[in-house]
Amino acid sequence: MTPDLIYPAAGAGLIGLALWRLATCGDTLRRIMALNVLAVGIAMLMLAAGRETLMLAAGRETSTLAAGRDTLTRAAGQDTPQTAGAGFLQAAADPVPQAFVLTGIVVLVAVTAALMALAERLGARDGD
Amino acid sequence: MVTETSLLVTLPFLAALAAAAAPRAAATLGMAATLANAGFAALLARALLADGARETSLGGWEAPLGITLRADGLAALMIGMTALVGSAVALQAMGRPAPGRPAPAGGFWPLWLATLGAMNALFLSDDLFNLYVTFEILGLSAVGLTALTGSRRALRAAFDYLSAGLAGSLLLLLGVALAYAEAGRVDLAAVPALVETMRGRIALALVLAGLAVKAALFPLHFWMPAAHANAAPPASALLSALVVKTALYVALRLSLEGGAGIAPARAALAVAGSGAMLWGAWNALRAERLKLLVAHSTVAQIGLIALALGVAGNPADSTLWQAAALLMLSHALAKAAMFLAAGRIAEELGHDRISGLNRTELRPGAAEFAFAIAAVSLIGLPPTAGFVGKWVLIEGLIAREAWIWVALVMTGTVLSAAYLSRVVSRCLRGGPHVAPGARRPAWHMGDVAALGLAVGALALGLASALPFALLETTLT
Amino acid sequence: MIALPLWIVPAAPLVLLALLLVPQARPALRALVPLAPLPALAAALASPAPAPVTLDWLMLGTELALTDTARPFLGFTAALWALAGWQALRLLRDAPGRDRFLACFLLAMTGNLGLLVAQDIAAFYSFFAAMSLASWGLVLQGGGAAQVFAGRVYIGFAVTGELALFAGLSLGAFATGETRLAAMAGPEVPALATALMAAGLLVKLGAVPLHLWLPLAHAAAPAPASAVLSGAMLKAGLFGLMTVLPLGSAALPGAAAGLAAMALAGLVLAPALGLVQAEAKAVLAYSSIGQMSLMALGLAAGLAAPAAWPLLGPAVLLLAVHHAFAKAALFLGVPAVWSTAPGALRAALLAALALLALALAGLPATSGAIAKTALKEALEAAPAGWQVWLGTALFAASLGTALLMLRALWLLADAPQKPDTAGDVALPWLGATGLVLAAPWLLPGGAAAAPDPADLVPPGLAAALALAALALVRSFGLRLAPPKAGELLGLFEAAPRPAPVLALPPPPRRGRTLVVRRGRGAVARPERGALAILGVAAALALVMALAPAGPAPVSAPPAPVTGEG
Repeated sequence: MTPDLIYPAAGAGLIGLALWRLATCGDTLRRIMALNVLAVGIAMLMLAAGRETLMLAAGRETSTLAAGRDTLTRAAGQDTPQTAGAGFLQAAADPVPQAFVLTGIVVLVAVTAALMALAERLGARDGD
Repeated sequence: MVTETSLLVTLPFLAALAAAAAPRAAATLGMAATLANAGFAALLARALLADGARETSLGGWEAPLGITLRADGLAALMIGMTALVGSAVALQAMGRPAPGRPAPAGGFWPLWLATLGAMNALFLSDDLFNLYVTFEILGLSAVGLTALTGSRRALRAAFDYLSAGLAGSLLLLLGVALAYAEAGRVDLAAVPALVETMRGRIALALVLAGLAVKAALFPLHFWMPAAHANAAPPASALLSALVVKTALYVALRLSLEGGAGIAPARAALAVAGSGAMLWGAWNALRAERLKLLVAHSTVAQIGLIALALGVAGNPADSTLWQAAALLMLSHALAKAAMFLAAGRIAEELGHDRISGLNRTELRPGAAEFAFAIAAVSLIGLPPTAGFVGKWVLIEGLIAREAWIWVALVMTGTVLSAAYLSRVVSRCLRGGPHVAPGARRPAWHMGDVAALGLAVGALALGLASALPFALLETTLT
Repeated sequence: MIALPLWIVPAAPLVLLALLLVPQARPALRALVPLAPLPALAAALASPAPAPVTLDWLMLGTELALTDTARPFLGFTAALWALAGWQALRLLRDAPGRDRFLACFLLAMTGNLGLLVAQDIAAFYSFFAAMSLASWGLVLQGGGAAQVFAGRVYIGFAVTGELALFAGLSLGAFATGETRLAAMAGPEVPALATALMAAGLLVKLGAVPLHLWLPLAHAAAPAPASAVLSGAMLKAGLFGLMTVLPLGSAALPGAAAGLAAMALAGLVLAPALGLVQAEAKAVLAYSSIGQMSLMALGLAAGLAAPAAWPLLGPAVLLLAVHHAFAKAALFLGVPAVWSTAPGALRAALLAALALLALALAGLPATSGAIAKTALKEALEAAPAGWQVWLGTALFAASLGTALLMLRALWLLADAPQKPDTAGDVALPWLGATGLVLAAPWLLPGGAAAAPDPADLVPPGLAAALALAALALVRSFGLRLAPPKAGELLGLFEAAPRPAPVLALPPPPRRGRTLVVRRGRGAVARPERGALAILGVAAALALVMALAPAGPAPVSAPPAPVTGEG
């Protein structure tokens, strides 16, 4: 199995698992976990999408890629972008989906914390 | 460069931080920030009317890596609506609590300011990922507002709200991921490219499904009545009047950008909207508590707006979408007034059972009056803003001979008249069903806010030329 | 003289209303209520007529202008509102809810004055609705069982009429693509639209069988409110009909026959039902139905014979002005009589009222005679088939009015004194009476009209009949049991329910409300929400994925996107 397929497949699998759990289980804590797994699955898909755009980029270069490549090329001390082109495409992943995923993780942590806090208070009220 | 646009986004967040850090000064700070925000909103609208739409790149970074804020007429209208409703609600929150009732929880101001900042940022966002992030901030602060009372019901509702909201956000994120994989960019201008391919359309469908959860569009409204009915009155007003509008705003943006290619999604919106209208009205007819009735009426009204969005057709050849924007505006004003008034009525009577709203000793007062005016606007009687919105909508539909949609809108109108008259007629009817401790509290800030908003909904109908002029400067 | 801006006509009462909302300012401002219609009066009397104004920012563009038809309407309407406002201040000096009454009074005044100068349908409808809905508060003043019942009937009819009017105006606007009110009488307006508009306005006019609200409301409202209801607001319906019907331009025999049938029914029913009423104001209200039917008859003739309209229009207008002042003066006189004990003073008041009654019945050398003569002459031009019954109908109308007036005076003479009614309520009435009695010299061509001895027949016959009835009643000791108020609707008036003692919610009633109550539904389960989200997302994705690529309008008609494709 090639890496091209592993990431999307793993992402889809995680999403499926999470959805199944969400749809069948009423327990508060498990639902929070399922939502987390769902988010991780989506993150995997995004990373995979980043790779894929990169593959496409040879033919349809986006401005981001070009800008990023120029920056990186200059940072590496090479003279002309053209010489760096092919090698860069192999080596680095597209930064935009990674930025998305990072932001997504931050958001997820915050939301999970809020959910846990709510669940905890609810549990305390149940105990009354 | 510091402009109104960037100030609208940064100021509320900074104020939220300050309010959280200094709880004693929170109310003063919050009120000042809210009023300043209203001032900036007015400045922005004036600048737009003078110079047309504008774009600002934060920190000098251009799209797609940087964040671009796009301020056009539609965004300015929504920001103005937020500022107006927010100021009134903040005024209500400033007021002293009635004697013998618990003081409002201290967390209101930071949460409200964060909500305000998130909404402003959302209205100005120009790319899908930024929208996702603002939705998350908005969701978190809105959930905080829901849970503010700390009662068991409120906590349960907040939990359901947050988990539904998270599920919706994740759908949105999945859609964004797919869109990026397809088009290599996520700004809204990429939407026309997305509708060309199957994967792009699936991405848009996922985004729209996420929006439907956030907007509590039937059949995904399950979390909403409980959340809106159990929050404190100012929080309910904010949630119902403003927060759900954000998702509708994004749907409108997508519809504007998508052009003809997004027609199936529009049809789905219209169908879901008509379902929401009927289902929400049916539940409002059955509701036993006032706030629950108002919350279900929000479901129905969201349905009406979604229907207007859906039937608006391609924005390139019809301006029917402006009716949807005006309906959003009028609903925000009227529904905020209604929730504030409902809170005041419950405070007066000591309960909010609809069957016990009859009164003899307690003559209907300012709150009931505000409720009635808001109801008139929601039903869409002239000369309110609701009437102008419905008029434009029905006029367009008749011109297109779309009789089914006309009939649906009419049915929704009649049903809304039926369920709102349950409340209004009872307030006018005599009957000694007042709870033992009930009394008429003294004139209260809440009355001013509710009445002001209701009268605003009325006055907006008279001066509806202004929102239409603003909408004309929208980039499409 | 400074030109009067026309927008001040509806704005003056509205501004006063807004100022009255400030509790501190009320004592000082209340006295201004009778002055609020004076700008309108000035506008109506101004020469030349005030220039039209256009307010683009108001609603969808509002235009106000004073047409030739509207000018007399505006004049008598403003005068009546001023007199009624004066009396309302005196009569309700210490009444509970006085400020609420005044607020409704001002709003209704705004609507009534505004609709006479409105030139676009949105403004006309808004003013009309403001007048109708605010009058609800006038009817409800007092708060007794009769007021509540009358209020319920009134608001039912008013809202139904509003809806019909709105539907008609909307249809008309769509058909013609115009929002000018004047365009509603054009030939492109569909018959359905005209019918709906006319139905809404006929409710206000009190045409049989849409009159059921009228006697109830007039009897229940305070006298000054009844005066404006009868004198000014019924005429608003007439004004609306004169504006939206294609009078003088197209012949509509079918519509004319229908309207004439309604008018004839009114002419017959009004005295028949009015004579058995036991309250003076109800009798006066039935007489209003009869008089308005007479005006409707004029409109019907105008619909049947457009050529006659140039004669008929002024005649109907004359009748409207005469009836407005005479009937309003009669209503304003009711509390004046109430304030006196039976005796010489009351006899004098009744004599003055009898003069008004005679004017209304069309005695020679009164405004009534002038108006009736004008109408009779104009009706000569009605279609030939109508002449057969027209004379009889006019005679019946005069006789009915005379009988009703006698009955009303009879009832008033017997009315007990109401000590809480101050004597100065008679001042506005005196003003109105003076206007009516001076009318023959004020009306165009009035003084020159030769008295027709035939005009004496109906009042004389009525007096003879009344004397005969009196003799019968006296000699046989008959007693008249007054019918329930509200005619047919009286059957539906529920007996007041005893108030429950406990301060608790009442038990749910079945079958009376729209509410369906059921046991608590199943507790919402969180996983259902997830399933719903999943389902909707999948369905939406499927729809979008299967949709054909490229522009595919589903609900909209195919848009011309690209010619060559």
